[in-house]
Amino acid sequence: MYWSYFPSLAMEQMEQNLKNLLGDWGLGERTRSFPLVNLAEDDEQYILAAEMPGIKKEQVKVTVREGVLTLSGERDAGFDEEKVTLIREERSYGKFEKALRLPAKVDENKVKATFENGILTVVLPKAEEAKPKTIAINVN
Amino acid sequence: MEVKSMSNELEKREKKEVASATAEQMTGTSQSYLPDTDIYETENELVFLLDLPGVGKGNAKIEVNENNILVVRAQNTHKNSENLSLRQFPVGDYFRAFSLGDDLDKDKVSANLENGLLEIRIPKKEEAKPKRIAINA
Repeated sequence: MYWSYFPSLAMEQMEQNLKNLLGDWGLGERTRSFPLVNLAEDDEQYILAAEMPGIKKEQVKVTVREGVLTLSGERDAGFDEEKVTLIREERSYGKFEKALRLPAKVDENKVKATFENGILTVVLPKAEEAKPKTIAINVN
Repeated sequence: MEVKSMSNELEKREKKEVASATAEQMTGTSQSYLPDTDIYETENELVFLLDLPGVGKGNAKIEVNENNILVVRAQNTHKNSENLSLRQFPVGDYFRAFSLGDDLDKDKVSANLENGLLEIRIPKKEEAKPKRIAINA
């Protein structure tokens, strides 16, 4: 299996909204594009979390280039399909690549990634010019 | 033949068991989700692979009850950040149950949790393993 995903964040969100609207968010229902991601934003930074169970941190590549965050790598099945009898197959595996265009400029040199219990977290500080500014109002 | 019957058994009974078991006490107060699961069989054992992202060592409970149901409960310690602008996965605990065939040795269940992937191995009873029959010339 091979995934290739290059949607913009807006497109991805639109697709997700549609799925939510259609009720594809019930108990146990999971969307299929791997890895699933959640993106949070505040004034200072973006925080992306990606579900990657069963992947070792050496198997994931995180890059940020020209405002596009890309997660790529490969997930092993954990067994040899030729040698076993599959009774149920719900997990997806193989090569994956997922790219997200970030809505605002980030400081690409300060991006940090951590990996814990199969969840990748990427913290992307916003570039100075993308942070909201408080304008002082002079009162005479 | 053996394989087929075991697989049918799982397919047939799983839904019911999950439905009746959901009334039981969960690991936490939050909503529980069904983890994606692969099941495969070899000559000697049945293996379950469950995706449990966010679950660390010591936070998954596995039991085989008196009705031969394998029950997995796991506590997710990952917390979603506030102000999500894109939300593709919900965060919550995990629960899933599977009915086991009689040919499995439930006293020898072993499990390993690594990087959010739980692997459960249940060996077959000796009498359920395929036997090679010598052919006399």
